[in-house]
Amino acid sequence: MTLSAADVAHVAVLARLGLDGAERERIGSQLEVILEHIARLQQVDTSSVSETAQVGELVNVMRDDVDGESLPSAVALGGAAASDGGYFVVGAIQDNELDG
Amino acid sequence: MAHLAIAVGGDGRVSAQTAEPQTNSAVSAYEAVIGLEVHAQLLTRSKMFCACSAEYIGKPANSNTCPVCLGLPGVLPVINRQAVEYTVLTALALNCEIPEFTKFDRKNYFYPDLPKGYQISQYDMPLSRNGWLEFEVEGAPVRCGITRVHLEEDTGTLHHAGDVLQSARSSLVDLNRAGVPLMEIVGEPDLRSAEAAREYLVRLRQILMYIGVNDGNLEQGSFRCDANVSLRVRGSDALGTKVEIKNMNSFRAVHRALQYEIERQAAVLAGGGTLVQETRGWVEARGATVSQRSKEYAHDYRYFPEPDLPPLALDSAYTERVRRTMPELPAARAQRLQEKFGLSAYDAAVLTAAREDADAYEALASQVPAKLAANWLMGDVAALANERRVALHRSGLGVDGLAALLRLLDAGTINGPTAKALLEELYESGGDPAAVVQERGLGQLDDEAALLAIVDEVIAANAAAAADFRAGKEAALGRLVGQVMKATGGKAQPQLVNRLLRERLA
Ligand SMILES: [Zn+2]
Repeated sequence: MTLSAADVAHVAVLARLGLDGAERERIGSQLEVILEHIARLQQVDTSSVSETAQVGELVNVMRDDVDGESLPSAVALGGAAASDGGYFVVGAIQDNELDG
Repeated sequence: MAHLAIAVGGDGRVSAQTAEPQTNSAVSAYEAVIGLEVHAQLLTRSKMFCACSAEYIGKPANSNTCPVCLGLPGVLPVINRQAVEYTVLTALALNCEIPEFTKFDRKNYFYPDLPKGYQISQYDMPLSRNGWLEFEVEGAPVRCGITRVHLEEDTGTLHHAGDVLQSARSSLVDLNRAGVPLMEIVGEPDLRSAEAAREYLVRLRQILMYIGVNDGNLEQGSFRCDANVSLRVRGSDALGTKVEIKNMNSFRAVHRALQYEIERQAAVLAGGGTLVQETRGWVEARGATVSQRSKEYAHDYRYFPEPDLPPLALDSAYTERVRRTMPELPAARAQRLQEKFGLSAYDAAVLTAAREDADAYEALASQVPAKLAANWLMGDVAALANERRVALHRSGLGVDGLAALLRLLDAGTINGPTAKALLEELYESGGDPAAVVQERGLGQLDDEAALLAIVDEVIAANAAAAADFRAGKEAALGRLVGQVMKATGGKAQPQLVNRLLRERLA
């Protein structure tokens, strides 16, 4: 398993992490260790185990369509780093941010 | 019936007349391949996974949220039963298969309108798949495959300070819409023209409104559409480069944007160029699609099964139970009304454009002659509904009031002009037409003796016109009829006046 520099950069963009060259290298090798571990897990024979995403046996857990109380907006905004006029304020959304 | 024009595609007919660049010679060498993806908000009371209200329009920012739809840590979503049922109903209306097992997945991406950092959606096991929608385009039948109908949650909304994306320093986030149940309807790339694409959307929206799962509002975004467009050389099966078009929020915009894009791609190809796989936004003011900075490599959503939601096992008994709640769909209803009341295909389509219109027509046609009901609904009532911006079933007069009015007309108690005046007067205020006619003495003057006296007076006072008619000038009779009508305050029956005048002048 070898992780290319491009793979590391791609994952960093998806996670919105602005990493410089040195950081990419350091984190890349750490990520590589994790992937090697997963690769070892993948060697286990699981052919007799069906794919599962749920450990409980529950199905069809649903609620009736009834509307209830929402939070007062002051409470909803209570944990926000910044707010203005009832809105959450975030840094400007610009596509090039995704370029890292 | 204010919405008639849109529902029958009249909107597009208007745009066809207001002429986009005409199909050029480059276009005719290619065939367009169009697939549409529709997002439709469901008309539930509450959100998809929490009890916040699903009605968010017009509310103060962030006043319609809770820990679940804010994406706070430690909360658990719970599936809205009604949203599942509406999606299954939609899927059945679109002839889809409903698998007995379905689950939700997390679609991961970072954007501030998505507080959890992922959207709960469905990936490889959607609620339904393999359906189709049939309709006609310029008289020719078209069947468009439906790949799947699945259920997900809507995002919040972003407001950019100053609305200038590139210069804004910050964005404002409102999460009132976050978590509203959203149905995604993915169509196969079976459409071959902008007209076919628009017709598909018109018919799809009509069905969603008929079955009561969506309000069909393109402008407010409760019914949204994206398109994939590519071109290939006519007769070839090869796939061209696919371009995704966004930001079309009216039927007219869909038609114009697709027509523009087809011509743009044809011009690039005809000039020996190559197309780029990209996302383009329709800019109404410029009448053009514009490349949006490519974020293709961000489309790596790393879907995985939603661990917080147990899967759904919907057996065939459930599906059949939902199927039994299906109302008659528009195409079937148009066909039935056409046969039952002897309507033309066009009239049947217009009268069944919306479920309320069809209900109104059926109620009226059971009380007065079907042709009379059709003429009034499609003529004066439609014009008035459009002008006053109130559909008949929501007006003060209502369907019952209109039926009472048309019964008076049909029985000869009042004449056409009086019926029209009463329609206009009572449309919004409402009231009992029979009582108003009685009270004001609007009843048709059908006492021949009384009418004859007036006819004689009019002939005496209009000797010249009478002489003209006797000399063979038919047109002169119209002037005399007009005078008699005026003298009776519009209450005389025109045919009777006509006959009496002819008798007297013979
Ligand atoms: Zn909520």
